[in-house]
Amino acid sequence: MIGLARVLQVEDDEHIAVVISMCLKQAGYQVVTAKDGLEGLAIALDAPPDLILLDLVLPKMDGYLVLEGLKSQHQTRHIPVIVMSAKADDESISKAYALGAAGYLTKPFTPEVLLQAVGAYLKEVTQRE
Amino acid sequence: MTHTLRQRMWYSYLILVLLLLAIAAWSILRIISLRDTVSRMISENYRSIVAADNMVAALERQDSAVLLSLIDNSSIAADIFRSSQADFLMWFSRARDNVTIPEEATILDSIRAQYDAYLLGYEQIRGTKLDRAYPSQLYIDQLYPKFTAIRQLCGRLLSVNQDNMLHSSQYFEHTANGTAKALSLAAVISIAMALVLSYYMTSLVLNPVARLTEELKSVRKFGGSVEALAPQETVNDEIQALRAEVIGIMGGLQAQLRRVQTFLSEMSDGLVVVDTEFRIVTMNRAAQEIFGLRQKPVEGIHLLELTHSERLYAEARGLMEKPGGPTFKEMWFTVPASGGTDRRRYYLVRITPLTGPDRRAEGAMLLFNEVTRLKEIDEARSKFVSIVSHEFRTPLTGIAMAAGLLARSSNDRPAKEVELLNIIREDADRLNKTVSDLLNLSRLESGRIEMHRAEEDLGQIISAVAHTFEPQARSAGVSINIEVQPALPRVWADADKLALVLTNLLTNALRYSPQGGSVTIRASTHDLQSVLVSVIDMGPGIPEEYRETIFEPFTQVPNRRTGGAGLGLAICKEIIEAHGGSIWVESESGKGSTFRFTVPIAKRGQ
Repeated sequence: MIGLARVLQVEDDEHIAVVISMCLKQAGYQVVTAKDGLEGLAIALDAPPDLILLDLVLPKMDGYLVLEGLKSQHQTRHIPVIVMSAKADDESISKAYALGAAGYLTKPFTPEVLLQAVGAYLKEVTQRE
Repeated sequence: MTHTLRQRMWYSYLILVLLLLAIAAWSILRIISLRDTVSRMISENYRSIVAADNMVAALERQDSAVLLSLIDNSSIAADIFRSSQADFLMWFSRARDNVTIPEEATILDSIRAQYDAYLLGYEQIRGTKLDRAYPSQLYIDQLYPKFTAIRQLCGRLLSVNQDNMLHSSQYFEHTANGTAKALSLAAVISIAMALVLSYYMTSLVLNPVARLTEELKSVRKFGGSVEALAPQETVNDEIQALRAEVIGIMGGLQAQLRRVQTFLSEMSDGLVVVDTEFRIVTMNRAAQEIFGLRQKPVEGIHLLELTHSERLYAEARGLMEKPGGPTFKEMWFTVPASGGTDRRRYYLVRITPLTGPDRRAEGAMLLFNEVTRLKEIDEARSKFVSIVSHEFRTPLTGIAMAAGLLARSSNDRPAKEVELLNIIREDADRLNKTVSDLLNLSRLESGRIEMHRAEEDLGQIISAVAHTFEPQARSAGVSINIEVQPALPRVWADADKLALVLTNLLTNALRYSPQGGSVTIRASTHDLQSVLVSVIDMGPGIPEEYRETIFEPFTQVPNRRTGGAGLGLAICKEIIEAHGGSIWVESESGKGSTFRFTVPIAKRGQ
């Protein structure tokens, strides 16, 4: 099941999207990438993934709005969302958690940190199921 | 010609003294004249009366002697007659020497004439005494009438003198009464004059004083200028001199006050002075502009009504209620954008309690220094730092991830490439740390980082932080010693922030420690309110000139291996000060440094 886990990343920065995708694929995940908030929300609603990695500063629709959208729809409500952001202030972090984020990764991070977080939240989902 | 008050008073007294002298002289003269009247009365009349009495006595003895000679023919009678004759003549001559009244002389002349006739008659009797019947007849016919006449004359002399004496006594009484009356009158006049003079002199001094008082009162009441009271006349009177002096002093003070008022009103900082009831005593133009109160009377308005700031009021009250406390307090104050002003304005307020000579609070002075521009610059800087940091972090994420991914598949890679990959990762990490420090410092400085304080076990925090440094210390050959006082009180602090402080201090301590050295972390109670934490290293120490500045951002001691942008200690300082503690360094060049900071002890119920 873990090997087939599907991760949706919503990330506008091309380089980061590439390295994250590469990192997760190497670890055996299936990765879908959205380049802006609107696209991310559309993909998530269309084909709900097992986990979502969400940037906050995004074109078209910012990360908070996407998060709100995800948490307002029944088919996506349960999906754990890990917010990834360069914003490391208390305000941004607590806002993200208040909107329903499962985790918060401060950029920059290393592949180890990313994989640990993704692994931990997916395991949580699996256990719940 | 005007005279000085002293002169006028002197003249007045002189008049009074002269008057009293005249009365005294006149009284003395009167008393002397009365004494003369008495002595004249005694000397003149009394002697004549005595003489008249004695003359009568002598005459009666002579008469007795004549009668005796008629009976007895012995010589005894003749002897008595002669000796009495001598007496009579002696008293007669005394009376004669003491003639004071014109009538006396005529009486004495008659007495003399009668006495001569009497003596002649006596001789006749002596010559004819052989015939018994005859001498008796002769005595009755001639001698006796003469004797009676003389006696009557003597009686007359007596009564004349007695009358004169009575007259003199009446005169004396009259004169004495007159003197008494005159003296009483003089006394009454003197008293009246003394009263008039006293009144005159009192008003001489008091009237100008009262006038001056009135003038000064009006200046005080209506706030006029003392120059308006410029002297009207030439100054040659003490009160006028005093007035000129007072006006001079007041004029000087008013001029000085006007100068001070000018300074205050021209001052760009807002100045508000409140009394102990926190009611506005005065405020300058700048302060009126700050609060939008141009042209409105502000005196008496409460500080809260003016500023709408509970915080400001609380600070001012705190300062005033502790007379021995701090001499001033600085705090931020903002005025929201409103009506006339288009933007929020920031002020640095300095509150200074005003104390009287007895050190009791008399009010407070609030100085509003506008720092809006600085604040805006500061905000722009913070924003800039935030944006820049964000822009750094995004590419850093790419670098860190890419290098990390490459390193993960490094099994089949040459060692050189692995080393290069590690350099990329470590430098990405370092750059990231610098960006974090910048962001943290910027937020700490602007007060945007909240301290999540709770009762914390400092020993635990120290152990946890020290633990994370163990691998690093081991590889550097440095030992970390922890000395925490047993039963150390809990501190009131944000554990994460304190850990950050300890992390920064330990990073520095390890960085500069020589191989084989040690780093000691010590914690003990400092005083009743705080705990002292010391981080002691055996590094090269810090030159004295840097001991203050190393806590400023971007400060580094030259010629040292550096590991950052010089932000670590600045962050420590911000965090410790936000906790109400202080941080400092003690160092001896070549013998290591000791960084110390204090953290408040948690109070029960906090």
